[in-house]
Amino acid sequence: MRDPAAVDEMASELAESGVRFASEPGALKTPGGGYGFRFFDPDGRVIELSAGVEERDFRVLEPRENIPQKLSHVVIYSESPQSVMDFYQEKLGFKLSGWLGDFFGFLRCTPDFHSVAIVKGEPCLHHISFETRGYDEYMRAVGRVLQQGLPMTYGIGKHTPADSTFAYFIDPNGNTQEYVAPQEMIMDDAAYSPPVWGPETPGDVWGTARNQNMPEDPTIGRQTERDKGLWAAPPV
Amino acid sequence: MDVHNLLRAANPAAVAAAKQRDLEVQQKYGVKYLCYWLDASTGHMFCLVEAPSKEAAFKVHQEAHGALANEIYEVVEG
Repeated sequence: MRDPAAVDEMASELAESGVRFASEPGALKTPGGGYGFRFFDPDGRVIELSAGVEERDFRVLEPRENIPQKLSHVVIYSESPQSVMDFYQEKLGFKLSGWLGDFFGFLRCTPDFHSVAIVKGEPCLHHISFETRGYDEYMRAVGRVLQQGLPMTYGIGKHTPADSTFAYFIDPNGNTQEYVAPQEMIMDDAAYSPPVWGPETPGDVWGTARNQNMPEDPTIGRQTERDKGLWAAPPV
Repeated sequence: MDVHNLLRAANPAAVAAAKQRDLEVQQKYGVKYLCYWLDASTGHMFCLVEAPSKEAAFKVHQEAHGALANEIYEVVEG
C-alpha cells in the first residue's frame, strides 16, 4: 500500500465490516520489514497488507534469459467464487477483468489483466504463475523445466482471457506452478468492459496444448483437497 | 526505447494520462521520457527515453502507473 496511514485506514475499514484479523497493524518482523497487518478473507485465507517493505535491487532481464522476471498472478479455489470476488473488489479495491462462465473470475490491482483469480472448487491453491520477459524467453523457460524432468500437466498454449500463454507444472510439493509470457494490460478502466466468456471459448487458442492430467485428474499431485490451513494464522 | 505489447483499452487519452504521470515521477530517477508512439488498434506502444539505466526507466513506469514495458532496448539513431 502507499504508506502506513493507508494501511491503518484499510485496517479500520475492514474491522468495521467485521473482517477477522490474524494480526493488528504494526511493524512487520518478516524480511524487508515495513508496516502491515494480516486478516482472513471469506474462505479463511490469510492476506497481508503492508507498506514500506524494503525493496531489493533488481535488473531488467536481457533477451533469451530463461528465468521468470516477476510473480504474474495467483489463482485460488473457492466454493463461492462470486462472494469472494465481491469481497476482493468491495473491500480491497480490486477491479473486475472478466469471467469464464460463472466459475472463474479474474481480478486486477495493476494494469495487468489479473493478479488474482477465483475458480469454483474446494478452497485451496489452484496455481501460482510466474512471468517471463517475452515469448522466446517463455519457451526457453518451459524447455528448461522439461529438461529437468518435471511433468507438464497442460501446455504449451494460449488462453483467451488475458491473451496469456500457459504451461503448467507440478512442483515437488504437489502444487501447480505456471510459466506465462506477459499478459494483457488494461490502460483505461472506464473504457474497458469485462467480458464473460462462454463454454464455446477454447481453452487453448493456439491448438498446441496437450492436457495431461489437468485440470480433472488430481492423481499426480494436483492439490484439490480443502486447504487444511484455513482460518489458522501461519507462523511468522 | 521501450516496447509495450498487448495493451487493451489503450485509447490516446488514457495513454496520455499515463505518460503525464511518467513526467511527474521521472526526475526522482534521473530519467527523461522524450516521446512515444502508439498503435491503439493492436495495443503496441514505443517510448523513447533517456535514462541512466534500464532499471531506472523501469522504475518510473512502475511508480507512475504500473504499466511496465515488455522490452527495453539501448538504441542509437541511424
